[in-house]
Amino acid sequence: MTTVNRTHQSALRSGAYARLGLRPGASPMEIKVAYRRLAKRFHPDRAGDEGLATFLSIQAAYEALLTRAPSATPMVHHRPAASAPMARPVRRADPNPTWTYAARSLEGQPSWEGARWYWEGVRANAAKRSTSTGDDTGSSRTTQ
Amino acid sequence: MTRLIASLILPLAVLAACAGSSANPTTPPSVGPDALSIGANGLAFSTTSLTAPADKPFQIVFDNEEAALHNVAIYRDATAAEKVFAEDPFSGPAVVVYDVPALGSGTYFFRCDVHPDMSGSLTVG
Repeated sequence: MTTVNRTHQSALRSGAYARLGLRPGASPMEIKVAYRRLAKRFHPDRAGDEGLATFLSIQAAYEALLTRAPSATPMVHHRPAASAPMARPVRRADPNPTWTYAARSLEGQPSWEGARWYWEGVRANAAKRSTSTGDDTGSSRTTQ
Repeated sequence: MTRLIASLILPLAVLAACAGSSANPTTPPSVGPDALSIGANGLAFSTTSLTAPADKPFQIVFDNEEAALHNVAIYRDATAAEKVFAEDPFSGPAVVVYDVPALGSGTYFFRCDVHPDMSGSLTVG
């Protein structure tokens, strides 16, 4: 009996998808969009009495798919909640920085502080390079 | 004499033909004293709450005051899955008397099938 009912329900749902011009298993959003498109076309307020039967069948299909099915999926709102914070990329400091300024956090500092650290880093790096130029191997590592 | 008989019989025959259904907007309805009343105008029902006796047939006088198609369809609940009573929508201005069969006590849901936003609750008990 349960199997018969399930088969019947399945057939009804298949018919409902077809009525809305959808493939079986279409998403709730697709169902809603299809219903609105067809309802606009066939609603008796727009199409007159001729649209009544079609509109009622479209509406029955829509309700069967979205509100009556035991496994009906609730409508999914893709807009994030207003209180949900936006995910921000996290930038981590290099644990072995080549440039001295790279290890210093600029967060919360005024922009001129950042500029000062940048140029300090440039100068320090230039000093490292000038020290390493005396090395015959050409390596950037300072020899002692 | 024949014309006289015909003139008497014809109106009676018309009345007898009309007495079968009270859902036809052109039919003069027979309304009981306990009939419920509801109207539709401006795409809204005049009331969103109706009360009827349990286990007893009752009538609903539905006055569609506008040209839009409306009806009063009764469902078991707001999912509109189980239709308890409904007749075809009709355009107004027209008045229809629905003869609703006896319902068990409980709270039902009614709406206009053409304009599902027009809805309310029917308390039977």
